Amino acid sequence: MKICCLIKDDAWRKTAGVRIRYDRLMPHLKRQGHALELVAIDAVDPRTPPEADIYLFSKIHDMRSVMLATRLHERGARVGIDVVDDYYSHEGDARFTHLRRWFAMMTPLVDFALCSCPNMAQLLERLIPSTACHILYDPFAALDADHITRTVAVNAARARADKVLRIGWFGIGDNPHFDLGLSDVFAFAHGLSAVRRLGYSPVLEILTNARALTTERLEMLARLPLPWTLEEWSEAGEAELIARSLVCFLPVNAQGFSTVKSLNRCITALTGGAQALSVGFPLYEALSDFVYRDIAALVADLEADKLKLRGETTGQLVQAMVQRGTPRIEAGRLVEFLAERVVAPPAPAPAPGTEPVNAVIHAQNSHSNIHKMAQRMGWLSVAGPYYRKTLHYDVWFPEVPRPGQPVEIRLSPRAWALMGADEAAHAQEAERGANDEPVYALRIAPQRLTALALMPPPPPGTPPPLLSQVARFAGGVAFCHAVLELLFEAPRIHISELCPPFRGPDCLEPPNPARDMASTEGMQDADAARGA
Amino acid sequence: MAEKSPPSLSADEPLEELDAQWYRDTYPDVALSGLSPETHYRLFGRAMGRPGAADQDQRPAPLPASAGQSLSLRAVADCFGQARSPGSNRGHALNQADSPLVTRPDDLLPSAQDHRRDAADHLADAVRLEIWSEDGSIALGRFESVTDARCAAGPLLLYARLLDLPAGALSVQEPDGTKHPLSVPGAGEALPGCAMAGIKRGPARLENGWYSDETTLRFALAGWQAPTEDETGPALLRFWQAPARASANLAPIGGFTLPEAGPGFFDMSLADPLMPVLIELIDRQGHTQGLTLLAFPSLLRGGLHAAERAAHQMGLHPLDEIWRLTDALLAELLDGPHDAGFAIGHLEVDLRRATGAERIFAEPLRDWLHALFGLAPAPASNTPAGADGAGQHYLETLLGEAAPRDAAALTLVLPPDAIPTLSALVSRRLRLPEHCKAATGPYLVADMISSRPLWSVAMPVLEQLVDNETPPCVPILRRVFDTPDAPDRPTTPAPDWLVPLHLALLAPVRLPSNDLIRLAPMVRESTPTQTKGAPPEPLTVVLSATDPALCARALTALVRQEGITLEGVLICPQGQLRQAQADEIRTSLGGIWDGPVWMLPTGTRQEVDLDKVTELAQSDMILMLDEEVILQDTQILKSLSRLLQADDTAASVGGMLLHEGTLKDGSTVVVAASGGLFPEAVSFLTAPRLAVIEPDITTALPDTVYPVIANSFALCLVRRAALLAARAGRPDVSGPTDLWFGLASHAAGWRNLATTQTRAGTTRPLTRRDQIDPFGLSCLAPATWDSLLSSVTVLRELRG
Repeated sequence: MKICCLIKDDAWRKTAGVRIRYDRLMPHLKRQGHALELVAIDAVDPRTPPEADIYLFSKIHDMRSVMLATRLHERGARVGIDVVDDYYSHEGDARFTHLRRWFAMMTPLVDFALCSCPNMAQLLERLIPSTACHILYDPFAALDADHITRTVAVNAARARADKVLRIGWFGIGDNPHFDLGLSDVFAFAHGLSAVRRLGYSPVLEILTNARALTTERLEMLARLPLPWTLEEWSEAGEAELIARSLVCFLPVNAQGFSTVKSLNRCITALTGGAQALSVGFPLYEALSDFVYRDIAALVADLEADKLKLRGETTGQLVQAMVQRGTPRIEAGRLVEFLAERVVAPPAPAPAPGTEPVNAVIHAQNSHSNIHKMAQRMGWLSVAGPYYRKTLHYDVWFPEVPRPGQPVEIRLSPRAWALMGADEAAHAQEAERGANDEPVYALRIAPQRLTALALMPPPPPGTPPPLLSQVARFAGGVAFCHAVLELLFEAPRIHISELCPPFRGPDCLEPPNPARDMASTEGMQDADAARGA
Repeated sequence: MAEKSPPSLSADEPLEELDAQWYRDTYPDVALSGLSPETHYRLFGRAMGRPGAADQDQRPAPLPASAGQSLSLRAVADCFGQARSPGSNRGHALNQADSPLVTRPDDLLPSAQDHRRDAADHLADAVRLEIWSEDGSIALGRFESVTDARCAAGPLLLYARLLDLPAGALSVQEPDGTKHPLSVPGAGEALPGCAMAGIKRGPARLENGWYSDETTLRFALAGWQAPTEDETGPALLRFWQAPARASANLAPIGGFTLPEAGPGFFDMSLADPLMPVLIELIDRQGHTQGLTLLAFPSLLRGGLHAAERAAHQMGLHPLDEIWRLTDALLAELLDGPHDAGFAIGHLEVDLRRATGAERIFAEPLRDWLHALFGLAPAPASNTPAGADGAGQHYLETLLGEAAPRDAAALTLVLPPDAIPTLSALVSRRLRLPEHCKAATGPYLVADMISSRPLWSVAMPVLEQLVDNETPPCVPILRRVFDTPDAPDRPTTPAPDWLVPLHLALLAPVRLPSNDLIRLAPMVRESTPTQTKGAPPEPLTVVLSATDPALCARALTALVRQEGITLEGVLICPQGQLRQAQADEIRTSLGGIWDGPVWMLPTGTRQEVDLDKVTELAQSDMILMLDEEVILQDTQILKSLSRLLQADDTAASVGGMLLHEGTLKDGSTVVVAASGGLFPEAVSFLTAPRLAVIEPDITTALPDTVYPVIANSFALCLVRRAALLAARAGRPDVSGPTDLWFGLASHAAGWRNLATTQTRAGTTRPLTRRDQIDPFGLSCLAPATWDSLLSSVTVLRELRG
């Protein structure tokens, strides 16, 4: 089986997510006779037939993934998404409007979803009940029982001798949208100082990203109730920190985003030879035999030389990992799950000649790669009335349309060719564009676009960007929608918007019977798969 | 009774177990005390359990400097003074020769058991106080006589009452074993003061105290000022604390000798950040001079209740204020109206926006609430099940089920980022007005991280808010049972609210000024439809106009609004609008909307002509709108309309206006431009004067609804009936029409609501109005101020 994992771009290969989730799996899939290949989405030519058996989209939250998934789906390829973080269930949260919209567009096109923990699987069951879901635990890098035994013994003996409890915390200290990371350290550290009453001096060693060190977070650290040190995170540094820490501190808050995270940090700590102390939400409950919830219990075990993770228990840890995180086993389970997807009947492809005009409107914030992908797909790339980038679009407005005024439109030859005959007859060749291709001009009387409340252009120099962009977004999208429906016959219109909180009633996807039908059939397939 | 003489001060003969140089180097307070190491060790060090030499030192050794030495971030951390190697706060790490700062030299906290062992050695021959519990007795203090012990025991008795220690738990014990029981003052009996005179003044006076981190108290002492040879003078402060779950198990958490010359700064690591601390003052003979009860250490700067201290602060000396406030709180807590229990019998937490990282979920706080007040926060009864899946379920389990209800007690419902104030917890007089089943109440706002005081918000009773479907972000006081025959606590005559009795202390998360959530806290998800069965509300718009393009922009956004129907647009030309421009405005609006547009005559008048408005507008609701306002969300007016309809006493409802600015680096920041007009000050200096301001309410009133004096006419919905009622009594004065309408409508029995839940933008330059006093007595009678001020939100910016 050939699995093509699509990522945002080549730089994405170096991220921790890719390193942990895919790189560790590759050799084991290969040994089992399968291949997992990471491919930047822009390197895929949507015009060529699919080569892989499975296409897995990983964190590509823009129209490129929707377009490519549409094409792959039409051609019978099996398509899935890897849902690592929950940006989709926070209904009403203005910060994630674009991501919820992406999720709503993408999920009807996929045959399956992967996630990394049971809590996320439960969430997906609620969000996309008709989509088959598989839990692919983040594989650990290595599990060396001897290393764990030695490390635990050395650190425990040292702690008993010098009465210093070395506590490690590692990871991304911030998130643009949620309070976690260092905020959790601050919120939950009150329990750590309790060891002073038990005869030990605690010290917290923190390893995190430099971006997280804002004034607020440094102020939080300054108020920690125990001594701490700070280093910038690196992969090697993380391994060293775990190796010299008796225990890794893993606080987890109970907000939705945090409760569906993978078990990776706990597994990393344990396989690195540190005890795990997790307070707050019991994210690591599945590993409860090795996870402390109370530092006093850890100290008691330390003094009794009965730490949860020690030489005698490494066998149990290996057993626990069989259920979650052993790369070889995770690879096998993934293949088994995907094999079921491959044998399921594909969704029916549209009959030849019936493919409607597809158009992508670049609303306020889009980017050139989406434009390029749209044109490679044979879709129309349309600059919305307020989108001011200068690329060779198929449909654009040379001036910001004004309420009550005729609307000037420019069209590429491809768009012109797809227009209805009546409208095309009114278009005039106005100039020569890229590659000396003709550019067609069309003027539409305002009366033909009834009841469209289009925001007038702002006065020069005002207003500032964000408020006015948000205010005019819905009107602009609705206006563009109306123009495209006037020019083309029953077009499928998609909105490319990369930023929040741009959302309005007029930018929702129009009903799409074909897609809805496909979605229904997908649901039946998923039900059949579950039954199997 | 023959008492053993204390060791002589001049007894400096060498001690075998003492390495004087090591002792002096290790414990910086020894040098500052002016005593020889030998004397210090003999008098205090040994009793405090300090080792006399390195080879007796059982404390953890410093870590080898392997970690944190080659760090790019190290310098940053150093600037914050915390990136220290483990154990570095032992000895002189922070005690440079030129620094007055002396940290507590030992991080470890001895347990009550450790102390029992030490006391058996050092106090067996002394008159002492004993605290008995199931775990045995704790000895505290060394007194010259039983009388001295009894005299000094007052704060310990307070402690026993505060923690509800069993009768007979306290006694004075003589060396021969004779016990003299101490009786804890009962209700109605005079209470001793919490602080002894020696701590309030003199050489042992505590000048200041604050939390240098979450569990470390740093005290500042002035020092002896004039060195004295008085052998009975104060020499040592020793601190005692017990864990919340075993409050009789007091144990010494540390101490320091008083500096001979000030200032001196001493750190004290608390065993618990909230539990009461007993401070023992010991003289140079080793005798206890007295005790002081720091009953609520969290009132100190940096503590969880620091904002409460700032809100109540009257004097300048910070510690004097602590003692005064502590005595007042203890008086209410221990000696309130004898026939009344605590007003608040239940605590609930609204879990809908909770993350579990808020203070209210932390074990120390919950243990403290239980130990001192017998309260355990429970999930709010109105929390919908499963709103946030596993996380919410976990929090519900963490808090547990609500305790059995006391029908006479009130329930305080807290937003998740709030904790109850001490004033509310101790109160026996707080009650709801007779007709209320539940209402919002006043609260404080503090910084989430540092607990720095920010705002005191006197929120009057708002019943309607409680039933609003939007989650409340302010504390709510609720009757436990809604039945009319539910008994009320008998109370002494008191106002409905003991103002300023704040109910809670909010610590909302600080949002960066460029965070989008400022602009739109919540957005709808699905295609909005008109509410079934609810026809769109007819609305007349009064549009302040100067520029055709801006007017067109405003009307474009208006016609997109959901849940309303435009009945007409009344253009109010502002400033020197020429007729040609007025005509242009009318034309441009005609292209957007084909309903009736009325134009008031152009001229120099700056204010809205309300006479004309009431004449032309026939809809029940009138929207006052500035042309520069951007209605970026199509449900803004629907939300405001819903609020206005929900409260039939509301004359107007205003939304929050946000101004968008651009920084030099091109980034965008969003700041509050208006959230209503608030009272700022009253004065009788030259003539009766009520000043009104338009403050930044982002932090003080996060995401809620509140009553104001008036709403800015830049964006507010006005009830026509209120406009007519207010207009009837309008004097012929000039001034801001919106403020006049607010005051006049209040005089006519209406009120004005504002909300930060509904937000719109404005492109007008950011100029918040300040200190408006335009009307004088012709419009505003001082006799009405009491009614006005008690029915609107009063903000006070806190300092300290």
